[in-house]
Amino acid sequence: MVNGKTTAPLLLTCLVLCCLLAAAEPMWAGAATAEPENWQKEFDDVCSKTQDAMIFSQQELKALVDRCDALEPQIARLDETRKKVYLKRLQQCRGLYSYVLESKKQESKK
Amino acid sequence: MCSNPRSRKARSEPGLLVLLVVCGSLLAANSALAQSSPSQYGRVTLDSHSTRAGLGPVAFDHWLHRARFTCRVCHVDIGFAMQARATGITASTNRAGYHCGACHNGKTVVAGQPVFAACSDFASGKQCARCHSSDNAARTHNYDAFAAKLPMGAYGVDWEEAESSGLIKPVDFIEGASIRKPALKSQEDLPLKARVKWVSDITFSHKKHTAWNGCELCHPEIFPATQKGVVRYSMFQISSSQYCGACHGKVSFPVNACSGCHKNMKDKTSLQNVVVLPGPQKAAGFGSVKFMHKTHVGDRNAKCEACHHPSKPQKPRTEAEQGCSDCHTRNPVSPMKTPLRAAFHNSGATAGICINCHKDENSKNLNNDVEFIRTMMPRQQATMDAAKAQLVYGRDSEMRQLAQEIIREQQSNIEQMELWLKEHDSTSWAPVKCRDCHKKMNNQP
Amino acid sequence: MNARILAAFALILVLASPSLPQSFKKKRPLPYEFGRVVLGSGSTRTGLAPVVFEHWFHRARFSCRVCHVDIGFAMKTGETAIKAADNMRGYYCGACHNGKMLSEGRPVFEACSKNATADDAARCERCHSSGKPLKLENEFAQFARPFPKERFGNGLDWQQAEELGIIQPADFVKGLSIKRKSLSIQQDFALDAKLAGMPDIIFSHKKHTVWNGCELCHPEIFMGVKKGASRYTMVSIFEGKSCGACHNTVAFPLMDCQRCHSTPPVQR
Repeated sequence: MVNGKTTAPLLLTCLVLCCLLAAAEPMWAGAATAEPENWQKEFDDVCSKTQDAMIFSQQELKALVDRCDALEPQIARLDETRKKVYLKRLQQCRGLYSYVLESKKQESKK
Repeated sequence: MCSNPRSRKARSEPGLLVLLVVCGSLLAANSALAQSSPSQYGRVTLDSHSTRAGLGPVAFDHWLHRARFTCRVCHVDIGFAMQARATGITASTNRAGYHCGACHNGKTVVAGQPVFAACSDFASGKQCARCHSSDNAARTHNYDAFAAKLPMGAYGVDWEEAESSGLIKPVDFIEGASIRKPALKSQEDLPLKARVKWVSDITFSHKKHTAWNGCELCHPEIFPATQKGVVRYSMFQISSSQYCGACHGKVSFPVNACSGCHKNMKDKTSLQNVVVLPGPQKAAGFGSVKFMHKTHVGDRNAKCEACHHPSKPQKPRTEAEQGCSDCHTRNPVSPMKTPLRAAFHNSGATAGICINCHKDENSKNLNNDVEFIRTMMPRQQATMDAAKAQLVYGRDSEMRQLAQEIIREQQSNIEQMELWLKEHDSTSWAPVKCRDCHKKMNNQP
Repeated sequence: MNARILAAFALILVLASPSLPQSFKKKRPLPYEFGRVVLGSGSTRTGLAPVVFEHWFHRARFSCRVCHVDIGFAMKTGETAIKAADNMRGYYCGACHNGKMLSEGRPVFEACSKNATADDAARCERCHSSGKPLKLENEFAQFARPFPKERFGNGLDWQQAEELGIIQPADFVKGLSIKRKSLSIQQDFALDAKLAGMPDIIFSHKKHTVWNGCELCHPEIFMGVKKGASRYTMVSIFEGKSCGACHNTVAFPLMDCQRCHSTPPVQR
């Protein structure tokens, strides 16, 4: 029997549960619509800047290279297919940044 | 040069002979010189699929096509490989307008007529034989009639002369296959130093070659070097169809026409006159041979090419009709110990580079009576020796008696022949004998 | 056989190998064959024919960068080691060949499906077709018709075709490509020809980055960081290094000298 004393806490509990459900729903949905994993977000963020590599300063490039290096162990823990794909892409991305960094160092030496 | 009388050389002979065997087989495999007649020269047999499809292999004659088109048009624009069966021509590629079908499509007009379509008229079956056959019955073009109008060189048609005098006008463009580009500036002539003293240096003319080939035919696949003077081309490589040998020897003038490239051959008197050729070291009684260049080249006017084949200028060559392996055999027959010697003459000294020439000479003045005696005498002597041995060692009386009769008979024959020789003039014809060449016996001056 | 003879044979092999006819002029691949890659590393073990991949078909629809950077294909046969499992998971070929992605309004057929039955054999053979007669030859003729023509390679001027809008290669594949800003372009620079008489080259970064982005070439193919320090030799290029990584296999072949060597040489 619902009486005035238990209604408010009950409603509050329901509200909290609903909020939790709403927030948690993405986790239950299929993998295709899931939040990208953290490493994926980081990867997309780091490697989307390759087109601008030429404009960055040496410090920025060094930071990007470091971020790539930090990503590597995370990618190495993935399943076989994704590891293969993303390690290669990371290698290209990191390679470009370190290449441009080297070029800039050479330029500044002159 | 090739003389090396040091006995130490025997130690390196196994390696040398194997090298020569490989070289010889390579040459035999690659040389088009086996087809020595001008009408056959430049014929390529194409059989990637023909025999499997039930047709004869295609016999492609270069002479007909090179009179009408430059080398570049087929080997660059259309893209034929320069080795048989490496292109992968099929009936379907021809029908699709590639390879032969670039012209053989019933539409392209050459010399005023549309060229017959390749691989399409199966019903009548007549057109197939125009390519898929090696006899000339089905072909409409005859080499002799064609070549009669053209200037001839040492080895067939002189194409260069034919073109410069305007008798042939090779076309450098095929509609649908060629795209014109502004030409790259042709490189200058290239000096190439000869490696041996007795041939002249070469001045390679880019201009003459690019007229037929453009740049892309040779560069970079045949001549990848981009720096002058870096690569030293050897005649051996060239005879193995590398570099210049990609064309020369297969379609262009063959490599044994030395003067085609080595113009102004060196003065013959500068040749080393006496060449000592090592005799069989261990065989009984035969010493080294002193070969006189002057006698052969000067007096008899033999051509250099007759003895020196281009792959190894120091080593003698077999005749044009023979394959290299005929002499450079794997197993020399005793008393020849090495295939190198076998090239000079076979075991009975009845054939070989030197013997054949002398035999030719001899046959011109052949006196068969003397030849008969010359052949029979050693045989009779051998028969007599065998009979004498029988008398010494034989036990059976019947056989001993037979041996005695044979001795009497042979002795009388030999005496008769010797008498005949004395009475008749046999000096006008002097057959070559071992001693005539192997004058110097071991350990004798 | 004693040691001397063995040594002699070894010597012969060493001496004879460079003199064996290796440098004969090879055939030119036919226009529909140029850019063909045969991928056989995994296929034969499973009983399927090696995969025949035609570049011309794909490069009309996508930029080089999309496959070789975003999807992650290597530039050499066998290096990627593509497996059916990878395709089924939506990577490599499966990034597009998944039955869902639309190209020119139609879904792209699925590659290597888990549910393949014997009836699907025809679909397997659309890629695993090495040695089988290809009907793509006819499709190429039709495909090539609107293109401006060029010498060698596929016989098509891909660059001009793109400028004229005949092809519009996409530079983005949803789900794999990262959204990027447009490129700030590296400058063109001159490469002097070493051989006297050969015209100099003006290398255009712009032309190349349109198709490739940066990561495709740097640093794997072009490692030099100092401008003017690397001396590219034609010999190394013919062997597939630097420019030869693409030119000769997929981009216009090196036989077309004037495409690069296009500047009239300055009178020295």
